[in-house]
Amino acid sequence: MQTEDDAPLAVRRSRRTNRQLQKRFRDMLPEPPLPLPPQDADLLLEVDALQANSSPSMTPNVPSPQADPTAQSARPPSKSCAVLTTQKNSFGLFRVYDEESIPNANNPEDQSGAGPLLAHRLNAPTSQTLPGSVNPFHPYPNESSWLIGDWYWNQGVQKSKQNFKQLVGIIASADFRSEDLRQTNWTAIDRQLGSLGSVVRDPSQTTSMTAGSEEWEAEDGSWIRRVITISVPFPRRFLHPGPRNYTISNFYRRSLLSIIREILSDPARCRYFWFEPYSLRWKHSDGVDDIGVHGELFTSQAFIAAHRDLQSAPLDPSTSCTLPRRIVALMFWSDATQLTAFGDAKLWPLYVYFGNESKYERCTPIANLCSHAAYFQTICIFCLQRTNFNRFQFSYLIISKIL
Amino acid sequence: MEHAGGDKLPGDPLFTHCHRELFHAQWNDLLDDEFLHGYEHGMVFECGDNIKRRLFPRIFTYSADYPEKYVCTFLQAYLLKKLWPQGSHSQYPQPWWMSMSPVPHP
Repeated sequence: MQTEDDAPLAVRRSRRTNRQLQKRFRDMLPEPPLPLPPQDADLLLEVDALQANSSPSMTPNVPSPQADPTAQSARPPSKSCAVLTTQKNSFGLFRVYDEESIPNANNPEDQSGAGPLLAHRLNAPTSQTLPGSVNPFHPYPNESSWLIGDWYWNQGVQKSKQNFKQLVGIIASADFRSEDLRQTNWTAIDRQLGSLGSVVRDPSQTTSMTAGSEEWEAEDGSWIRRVITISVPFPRRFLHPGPRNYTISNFYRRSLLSIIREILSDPARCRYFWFEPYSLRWKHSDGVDDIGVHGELFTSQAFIAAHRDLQSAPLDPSTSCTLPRRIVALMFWSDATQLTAFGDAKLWPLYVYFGNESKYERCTPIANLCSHAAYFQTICIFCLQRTNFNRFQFSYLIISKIL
Repeated sequence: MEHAGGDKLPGDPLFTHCHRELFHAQWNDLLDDEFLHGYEHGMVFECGDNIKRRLFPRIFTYSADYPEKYVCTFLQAYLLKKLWPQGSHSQYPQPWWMSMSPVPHP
């Protein structure tokens, strides 16, 4: 007692040990994902019995209107299928899977954490994307050359003091070897970098690629140059009324299926690709009914409905195919882009994202999940007039364009 | 659709028509026979995880800006005609996005 009295007041003061921040200041971190159902649905009950006390576990049940209203609304009642419901996590979220499309063991969610794909891609050595290549700095022969090349191309067009410091940092580092640079053929490397798609490419198409090939080439394997012809119905006021063909010869596009093949042949991309949809639902701790949670495309009603339609659709009877039928969700977007501050150089690209990938991955620019599918062409009015306008109409066009 | 791609010639139905026709023709080329076959019968492909699947490409969304959206509006009906030609409607149900009306511009 005596010693306590001698201690400073701040130490003697009684404190609450279970102090917590106010609820509004607490940072609630995302829950780790729930374990997925066992791969073999038949073993489900056994696994359940074994893990009766472990949490969380999966329980198979037949859908009731309360348990899975999405399923009831999305398909006729006669085709009801068993669903698997995960246990609720601390936020009250749980998932409802169709029994026939349970994700396999290497499902994206098994590798939890923020931005798994991005982390994987950033950590993955470059050699992973270059099958058969031993040198991770390809096309640069060694690390020193790669550092200098990266500094030249990627650190801005105009040199600043910061760029200079970066260069000094590269040269002054202990790993830098100036003798490595002497053998480097910079022109050949730049040409190789400039040839489209030569760095990352479907291994099955590497044979058709030649170093130094032109950027757009029909035999490039992925980009195709197409000639498009439309019929223009010229009105009576034109020199030659009636339908006339108008042709553009430089519509560049890729085959959509080849884009899918390229993406899915990459193990890193495929690993985080959701083929099996589920319904994400939320139930309040006191509540009885659960409600659907909007989030990813692969948890949306549209995706689930399309997936179920696909499972129940009759296939071509000539093929007795037992392969799993899965949906690849294409999400297009296009926006005409002005390329220069002055002049009218512009592009109208068509991009494609895959809805099977998480939106948190898709919105990360450096994850590089967007693919270019095509570059649309627009009508060139001056080309159009060349054949069929008289001089007066042409000058009218010029004036109206300027004004 | 007043213009597409920046060439402004308001009020001329000929150019409106041409822009739309060209856009549709390019989409017509993009959705080639290979894609349509894959859409209908699937594409057997061994993915990067060494699992062979029959993949069916499906178009879920199409995002576009204000002027382009009107080109795309016409595209809905156009794609419907291309992907579901006469007589096959019953076999392949119409996806939800085909029946959606375009979102009005704010």
